[in-house]
Amino acid sequence: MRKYVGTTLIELLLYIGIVSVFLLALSSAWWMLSSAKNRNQVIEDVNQQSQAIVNLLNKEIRAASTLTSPANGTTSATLSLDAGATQIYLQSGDLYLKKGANAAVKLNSNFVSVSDFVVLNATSNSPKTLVTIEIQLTYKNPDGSREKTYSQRFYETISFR
Amino acid sequence: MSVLISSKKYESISSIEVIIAVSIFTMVMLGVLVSILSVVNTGTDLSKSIKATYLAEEGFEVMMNKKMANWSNVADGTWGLQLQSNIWQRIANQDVVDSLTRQVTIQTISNDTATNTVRKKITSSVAWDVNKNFSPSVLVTNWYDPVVIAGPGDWDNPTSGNYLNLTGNMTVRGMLIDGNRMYIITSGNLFIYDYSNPNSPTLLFNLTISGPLNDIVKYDHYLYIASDSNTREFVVVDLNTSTPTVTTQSLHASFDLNQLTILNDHLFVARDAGGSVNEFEVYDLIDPTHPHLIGGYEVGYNVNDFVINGNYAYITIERTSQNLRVIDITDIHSPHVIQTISLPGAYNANKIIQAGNNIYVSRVSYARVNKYSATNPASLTWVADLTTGGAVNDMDKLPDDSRLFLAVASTTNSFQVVDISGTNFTIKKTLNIGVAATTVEYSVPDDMIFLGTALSTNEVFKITPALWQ
Repeated sequence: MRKYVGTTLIELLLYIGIVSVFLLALSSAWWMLSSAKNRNQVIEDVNQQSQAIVNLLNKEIRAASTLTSPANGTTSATLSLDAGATQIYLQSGDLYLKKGANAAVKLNSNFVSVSDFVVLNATSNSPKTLVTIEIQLTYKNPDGSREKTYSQRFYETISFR
Repeated sequence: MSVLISSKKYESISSIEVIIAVSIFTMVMLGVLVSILSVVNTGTDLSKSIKATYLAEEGFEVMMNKKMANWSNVADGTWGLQLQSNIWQRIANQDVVDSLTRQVTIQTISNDTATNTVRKKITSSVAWDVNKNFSPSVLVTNWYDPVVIAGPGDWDNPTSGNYLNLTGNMTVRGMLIDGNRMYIITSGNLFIYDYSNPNSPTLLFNLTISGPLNDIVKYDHYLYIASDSNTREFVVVDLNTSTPTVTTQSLHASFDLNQLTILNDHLFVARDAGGSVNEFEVYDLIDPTHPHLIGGYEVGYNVNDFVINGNYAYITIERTSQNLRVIDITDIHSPHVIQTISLPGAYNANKIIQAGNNIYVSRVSYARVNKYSATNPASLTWVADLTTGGAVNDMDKLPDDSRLFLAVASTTNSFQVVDISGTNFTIKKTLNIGVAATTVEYSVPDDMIFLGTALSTNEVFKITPALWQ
């Protein structure tokens, strides 16, 4: 009689199976959450960098008197303002700001690299200079993690004041 | 006993309990999955949201910039924005960038005709995915419009109309617009118009001057006019007095003056040949009523025109060969030639204009404009020739060096617009005003062109660009 009250082997196997499935689901969820957290951190870093760079470009362009390069209707990988007194350019995957004779300052963090920095002088016939900027930021991913592979392209147009 | 065993057996988990357990488990797992997906998508959403912000800002910046160029550019409607040949253009309805859809909607809020004040609302709306939208708005007015120096309109589609009927039967030989005055020289008259309202100029003075008159420039409160009248070839018009006073004098030597240019308080002149006189001369203007000769260069032939760029003057010579010379004026006391060129075709060189690093030369009785690169002034290089609708009497250009305007000696091709933005130049528009054009003058503040003719009435035409679409 006691023999029949206890847990049968089948029941035990069933419980172990259910618990295993549950643990598997939990660990998968944990892994996905962990990946999502890492990816969101990467996206957040890239977005923050883009905002910082675009804000700085806004500030420099709006404070400038003249756009030295590129010429009207042309593109360049260097933004040169006020006869070269302010220059923003790409070098070895980093974006630099150079003011006069001062040393160039790197604008992006060590977490991201910059590519495709294209400046267009879209002024056309307007009395106010119009600059369109295209920039691509890529998260540096030295260990090659899939969730940390992220690149984003941003566009912004800024008019002289 | 068997009953007890049997009853224990039926106390185990029922089907309903299993279903409930599985349902609870499924719901919990579904909840966890949805939460995870939500977290996963957060980053992507944030990224698109930031992109949307940039695109919306771009919509404002482009529209506000276009508004500065011309108020008419902010026309009511729903638009997209697109770069075409590196210029932002409005396109119908919307534009799509990286799966984000942008619409710029412009709507008139109020229009006070009494004060000519128009208020418009610009909404730059960016939508992505499903039901995700960012729609900021700004209000703009045309208060800046009346005082802004308007940028050029669409000069590839200009229209012409009558503008001025000069007293008498006149041939317009030169025009100058300066502030609220328009000066027109003819064969023997100087007309001074009040140009405060460009659409309705009023005649202030009609002064008779011995001519024919060839060119007019303004220095401080004086007008200088070049004349063919020997011994009276240099005309000074004093504008300091309520009624302008005209004095004439011979400028160093009594040979026709063809062209005048003021640069850095110096007067540069080009004249006809005669004796051993320099045909290209430089004067200082310490005494503005009596320029003092400080340097010159003897060409040996009539100099029809010249243009100065940096330390070099490019002069056109009334000769069928060796008719373009480059003069180094680094030392204005001692100008000297550094290059002589024979233009293609055996025709005299006529007018010359510089745009960017290029110079353009028209010819006498020859329907061509020659383009030379002056990147190295000591070594001009031929770039291209343009066949025009007739010999070109005069040239002017847009300040951005994108278009050249030709006054053509042709009754059917009187005015031509030439695209000079590329290496080769092309005619974009030809206007037939039924008479040959003698002069052309582009007014930067008004974005209008005035075309002079030899008609007996309505000698001056006004040409206006189309509005940008």
